[in-house]
Amino acid sequence: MFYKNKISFFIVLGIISFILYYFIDQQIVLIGLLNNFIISIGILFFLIIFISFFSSLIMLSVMSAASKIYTKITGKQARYSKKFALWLNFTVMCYIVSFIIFLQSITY
Amino acid sequence: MNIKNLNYKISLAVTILFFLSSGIVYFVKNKHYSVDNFLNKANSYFINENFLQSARYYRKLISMGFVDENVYINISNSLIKLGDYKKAKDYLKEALNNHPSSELYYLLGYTYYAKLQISFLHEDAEESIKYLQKSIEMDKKNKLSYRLIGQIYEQSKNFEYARIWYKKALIEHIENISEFYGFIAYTYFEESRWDEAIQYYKKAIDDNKNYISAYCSMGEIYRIKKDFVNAEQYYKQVISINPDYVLPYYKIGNIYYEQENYQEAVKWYQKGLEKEANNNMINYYIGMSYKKLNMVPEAVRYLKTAAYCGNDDAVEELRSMIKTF
Repeated sequence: MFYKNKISFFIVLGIISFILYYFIDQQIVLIGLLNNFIISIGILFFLIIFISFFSSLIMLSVMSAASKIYTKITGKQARYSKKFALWLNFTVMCYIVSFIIFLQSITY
Repeated sequence: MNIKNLNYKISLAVTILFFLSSGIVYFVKNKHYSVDNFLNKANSYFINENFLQSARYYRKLISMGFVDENVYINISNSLIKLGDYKKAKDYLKEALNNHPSSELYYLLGYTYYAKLQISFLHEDAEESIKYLQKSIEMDKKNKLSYRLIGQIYEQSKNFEYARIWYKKALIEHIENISEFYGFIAYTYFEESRWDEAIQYYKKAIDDNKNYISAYCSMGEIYRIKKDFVNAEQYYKQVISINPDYVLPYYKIGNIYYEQENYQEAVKWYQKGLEKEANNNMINYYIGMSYKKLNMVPEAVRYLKTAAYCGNDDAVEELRSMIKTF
């Protein structure tokens, strides 16, 4: 399982959020509450998790639908763990979302 | 975590790949960025007062190693306009470390002054004055620094200290001494020291015969002293310099209004309305003049206009007139 130790994944995500904050801060002038780097990193961290989680839920529903069609066509039961699939989707989406944010923050 | 674990190896490999590819993308993108292009964009945004974008490009220029005093000045100005005083100060202090100048010290003093307008902290005033003094030490003819120190003292009602700095500027034979005579006169005006104020406004006018603000202030002082003849004379002087300026017409109208010569007051207010038809104060006073002359329909007409233009007194006056009639 990708990143079996979930805490280590969230630590990596925290480090990614910290790096993203630096580039976002270079791009736009963060004022008010967002000027506080702990608050900003926290917002970024949870934003990535939020977007990735809901994206992975959508992907999981697509996978469930696809597996039902597969079962209908082939008559074979697709064997996969929903929990594993959700976690895998989630971690992959975290990287994708982070990369997209990174690309935006370095583009002028 | 067992490093020999396959899951762990895959996780680590993906993470390292993520960081490596991000680094490569960053490097490739930065290679294509041109300092000249960014400088043109930044300057263009700055001139058009799009400070968010100008700050963005100036910061990128600084991160690309483009160290230029004007870039630091412009980014600081952009950040001040955006209200990010901390970053403005940081950039100015960085610029001062590289190449101290009177202008940079002035800008740093101005940053603390801008922050003072919302913080009202004594420390900000002190810091502002400290850097403005350094600015003056480097360039004794930096009139902006003298002016700003004076303004800080004026704001804290310490008019004596404000005058000290304005007089220091005069000693250094800076340009536009009439302005500083005007500033000194203003401090006396605020303290209701009319004779000293008049003395300095006259000096300002001697140096600059077209100093409209000084003539207006003189007019106002004489009006307060009930010397209506002199007051009117000074306001008419403003009209001779700039016939399109609305204030002197309004003020002369007020002089006659105060003397209860409402016919004459209306004449001058009408001249003011020719220049600015929707001036709420002039409309209000014409309305009040017509009311004093018992010309109610005309009074209501002008008071309504004043009310539409945002004059609260006109609204109250109309309400009381409705109750009366």
